[in-house]
Amino acid sequence: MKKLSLLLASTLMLGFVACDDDDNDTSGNNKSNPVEEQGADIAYETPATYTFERDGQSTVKFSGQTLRLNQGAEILKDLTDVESGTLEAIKTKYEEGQDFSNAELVSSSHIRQKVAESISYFKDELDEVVSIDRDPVVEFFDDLIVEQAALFLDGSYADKDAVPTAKAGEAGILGKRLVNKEAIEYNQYWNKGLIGAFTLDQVINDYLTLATRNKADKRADNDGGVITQKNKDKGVVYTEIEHWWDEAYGYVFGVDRDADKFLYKYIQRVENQGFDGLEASIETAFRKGRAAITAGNYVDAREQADFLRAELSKVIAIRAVYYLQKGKQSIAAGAFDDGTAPHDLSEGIGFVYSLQFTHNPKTSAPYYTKGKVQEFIDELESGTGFWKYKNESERAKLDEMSEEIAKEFDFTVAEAAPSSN
Amino acid sequence: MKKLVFLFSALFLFSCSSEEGDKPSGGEGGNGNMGVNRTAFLNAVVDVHAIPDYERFAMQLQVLKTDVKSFSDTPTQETLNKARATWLKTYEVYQSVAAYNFGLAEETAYRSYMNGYPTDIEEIKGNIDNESFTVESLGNSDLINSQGLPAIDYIINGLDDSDAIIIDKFNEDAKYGKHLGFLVDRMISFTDRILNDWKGDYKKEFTSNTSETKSGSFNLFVDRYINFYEKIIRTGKIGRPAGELSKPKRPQQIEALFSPENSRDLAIVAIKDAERIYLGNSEDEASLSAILLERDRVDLDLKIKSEFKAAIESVESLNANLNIQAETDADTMLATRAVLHALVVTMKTDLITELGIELLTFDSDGD
Repeated sequence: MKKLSLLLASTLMLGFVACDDDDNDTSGNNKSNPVEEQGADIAYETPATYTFERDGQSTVKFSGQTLRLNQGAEILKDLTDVESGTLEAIKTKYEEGQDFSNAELVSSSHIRQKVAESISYFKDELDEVVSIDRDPVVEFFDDLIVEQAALFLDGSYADKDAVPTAKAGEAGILGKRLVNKEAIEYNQYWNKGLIGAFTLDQVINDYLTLATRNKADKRADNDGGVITQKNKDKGVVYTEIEHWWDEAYGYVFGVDRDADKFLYKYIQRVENQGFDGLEASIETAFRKGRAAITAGNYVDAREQADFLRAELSKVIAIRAVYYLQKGKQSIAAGAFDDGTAPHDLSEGIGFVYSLQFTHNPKTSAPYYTKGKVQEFIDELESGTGFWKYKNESERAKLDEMSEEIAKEFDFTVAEAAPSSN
Repeated sequence: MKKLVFLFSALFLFSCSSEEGDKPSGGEGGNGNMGVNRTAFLNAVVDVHAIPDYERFAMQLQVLKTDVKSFSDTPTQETLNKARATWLKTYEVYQSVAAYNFGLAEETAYRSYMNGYPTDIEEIKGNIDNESFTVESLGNSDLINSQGLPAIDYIINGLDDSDAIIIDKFNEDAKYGKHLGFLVDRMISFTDRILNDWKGDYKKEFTSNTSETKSGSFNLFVDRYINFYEKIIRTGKIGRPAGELSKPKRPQQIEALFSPENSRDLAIVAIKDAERIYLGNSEDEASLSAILLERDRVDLDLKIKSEFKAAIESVESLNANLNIQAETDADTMLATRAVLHALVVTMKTDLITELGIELLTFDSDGD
């Protein structure tokens, strides 16, 4: 019954978002600077699909986002390829965008340059990267690759079957999962951590910020439909602001729903775990915001951006809680040595890491401070790492952490947790 | 519950008289049941399992062709040993493709041509002596029991007890080498045909049939997978030679009858292949195991994993030579059969219930 009402509520919300153009108030908006905003009275139509044109030519392009998401998927495969993966090959792909087995992915553009480099969190007023903030994050992901390679990809093992079984304090294999001495899968940590540090950060802290911040010259160009000379030379007809918004969209919806390994994958998972209507509300907000931008209604665009910031942040938080709870349940069911619980918790620690890249539109800051996130991670990695949770008394910490994460949002731990049997 | 959502979405669709026919992008797809993404599952079956496994087998057959030819051209103990080792490796790789008995493989009875045993020795001898015999002759379904891996086993391991005499025979008469070449070529062309079908039309047909009904590919695959484990592995490799279900034991009906010291290991390889399909090869494959975990059935997943482990360990405890095992101690082998059967029961009850699968193949052996 509880599920039913939840479902009804979200269905109603979906209807609300979809139908109401004039007074969209689904997000906690930051309206502290109303004087800055322009175009609030401009009416526009939101198309039924994410299709926007100027003079009969599409203005939507996010091939760079699609490329990097696909690059990420190939690197993820390499990270567990005991037979033929190497540190050098992975670094070449991740740091240089070169030598992908799928030649279409080769590019001067690569994922590493997009880690923790958002305008909201990692750049100063002059849009220069603040190294002291960014470098530790970049190094963190570099180190995960190096550690994984040192353990499993240095040629010591012919294949996965040759990897010894892991034990507390000893790296190895559990089921089909390659884990370090704390039973953490570095590849999962890397993947789920990058969902925050790369995709989420790019979407809600970089492109949505770029697209909605009040820069008079950019807005004037956008209002006039002015295409920069550089873009004219490229044969594209979008304004800069339109394109920023589309790049945010591309980091979410840039690859097929089944192929995505980053944010979109988990939007779908959250939708399927009982948060009905979430995926549609996110897609709708992108569409409405883009229509608003093209029309020059920056008030509505800001509202949609803030809605997306809150909802996409919530996806990360729900999934963090989900995996901490799932890990707990798996251990209780006896599924640790087969790799199930270590896998759950490895996804969990990655999502927990990602929490520092969330964005509360009411405060323009993450929902969780870096210090708080580090506390969570320290707890997860302390002692024998995940092995310690075989001890039931230790598992209370997973509940405490889940509660602390959930309290920032309007969901409960029970709602985010897997239904236990 | 699902119907209700539909109803409400439809309501809003019609009540929105303004600009938006609100259709989420890609809202449809294979996510009808929680955690069961049929599209992702079927794509993994094809791209991570079936095609790579067939490719591996096809490549291995080319190695076999080379080594068999070396032996036929220059019959020595060394070339014979090499041909035998490669044949065994080929037999091991074959186990993985035996799981995919649907599509063209099923229509053409591919599995029976590749690995029909017991093989018919008299028929093989007749084929060897038949001067008008060609590789095409092996397409005759009457000769289904005198070809494939068991027939090659007979020729390189079973022509005589003495290696020296086998080598002499090949030296003295080209008919042996010639026939061996036919057998390998037939396996190569047949396998290429199946592989090309997978890579061509069948891949699309198979992966696009995401229906939730029993005619969908998901249902088909799970049904055949269970059938493979039950009939081909449990009964074919362990139960029948041991005399399951109170039938007489048949110690001659084992794989690699002419090099029976390999028979147990072939069974282990087959179970591990089945286990690999269950677990999934790649990191985040939408495997059956992953589906169960996504559906919060860690209990059932763990049960299946444990039963696979127990099955492997039980087979490992048998004599490497299953012919000797069945002859001397069929009861122990029947106990192993019972261990394998426990997993059959789990899959035919808990697993299919959880996944909403309807078994397509009915049997009468009292499960």
